[in-house]
Amino acid sequence: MSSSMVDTALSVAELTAYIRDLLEGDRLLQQVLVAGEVSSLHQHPKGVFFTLSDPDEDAAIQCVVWNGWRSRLAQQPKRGELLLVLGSLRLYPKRGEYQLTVFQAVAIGEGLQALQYQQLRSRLQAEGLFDRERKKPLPSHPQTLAVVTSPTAAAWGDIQRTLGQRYPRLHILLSPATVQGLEAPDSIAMGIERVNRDGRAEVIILARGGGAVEDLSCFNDERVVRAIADSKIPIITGIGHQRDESLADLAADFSAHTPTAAAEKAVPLYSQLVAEHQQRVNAAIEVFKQQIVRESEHLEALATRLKRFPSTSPQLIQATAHCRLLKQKLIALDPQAVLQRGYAVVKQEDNTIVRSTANLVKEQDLKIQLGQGFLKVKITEIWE
Amino acid sequence: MKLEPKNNHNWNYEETVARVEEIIDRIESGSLPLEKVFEEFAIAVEYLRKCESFLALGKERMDLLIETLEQEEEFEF
Repeated sequence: MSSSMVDTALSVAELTAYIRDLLEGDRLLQQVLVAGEVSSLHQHPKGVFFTLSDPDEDAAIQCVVWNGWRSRLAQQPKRGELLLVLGSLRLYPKRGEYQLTVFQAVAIGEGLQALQYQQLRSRLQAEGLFDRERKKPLPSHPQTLAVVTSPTAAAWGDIQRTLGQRYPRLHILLSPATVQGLEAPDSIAMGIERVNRDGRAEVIILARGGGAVEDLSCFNDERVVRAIADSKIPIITGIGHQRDESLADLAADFSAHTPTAAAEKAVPLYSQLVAEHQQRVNAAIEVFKQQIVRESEHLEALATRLKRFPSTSPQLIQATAHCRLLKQKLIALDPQAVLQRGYAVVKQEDNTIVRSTANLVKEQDLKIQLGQGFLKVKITEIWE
Repeated sequence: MKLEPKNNHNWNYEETVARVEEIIDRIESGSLPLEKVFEEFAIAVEYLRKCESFLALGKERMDLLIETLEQEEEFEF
């Protein structure tokens, strides 16, 4: 090795300083956005160390979040998660390593969806779209009902069958919508608006297609949630899933777990209505009849009291008794009765009663009244 | 006290029954002159007859209505 070569060679420190100047002087590398999967993670008293790697290519970069920044991260790094990080590259001369100092991290992939869901949910909640006071009451006996769903899906068949069994004369409108894929949110929102413009339906069922592995994301879409909240007609969702409620469910006036359950909620069971009606009819008839019987009995009792009066009225009894007494007195006073006992009345021709012999003369004609009959007599002798 | 005309709209069943009851009470108490007893008795009989025919008429109408209720169109199912 010649001395000139040694003279031009750099020391390790010089090379490291040179690389460091390159890296730390590069504006892009001082504020770089990088996406990758967290492949390993190590908690350290000073911060979190993790490796961000590219699952498709063989590439990895060491990252650190110092404790001072941890609380500001939108998403804490977790092993296996896709992360988008913002950081600046630093070189560590002692180890000859470079490392990304992370200032911000957000989830992408499933984590991102969950985050976006949470953010949208909080925002719409703050706006009051899920408030209980906003819920419109469901009509108890709707005559016209609209279904917003895909006409080719199993749910539509389930809903039709359930409605038909429960409430035969219901008028059902279908507002077709795509419930899967990118067009789904606009299609569903349009489907809801169409029913509102039409104005005939009293209640809307919004149902998912019914396939097992369908994407539910359209029911978390803001356009769909707003269309539900803006609807003047109450909406029942029948989206059918086991996990957390979708935002569409939260905004709906009632959320059922399946399309069939939504249909059951929308209309009463007709046969039960008929049975209840019949019970009310019978109860009403029973009450009427009882009332009539009660009134008839009352009138009958009054009539009985009235009919008894000829023998019970105090005045009548008293008056009758009084009359009878007077009658007996009269009978006792009757002059005819005296004649009957053998006495006789002697009258002159002018019908004056003869009480003494004074003023009488011989040969004078007199009338004698007996108990029975009259006599005409002539005076033959007078004794003073 | 005068008899109510038959088609008087102000005629009232409960009121009429109450009057009959009053009259009966008065007659039973013996506080009326005899002439009044006959007069009021006649009124009470007339009132009661009216109540009975009112009730009979109402019952007839109700029986008809009940019949129409029971003959209601056949429900589906």
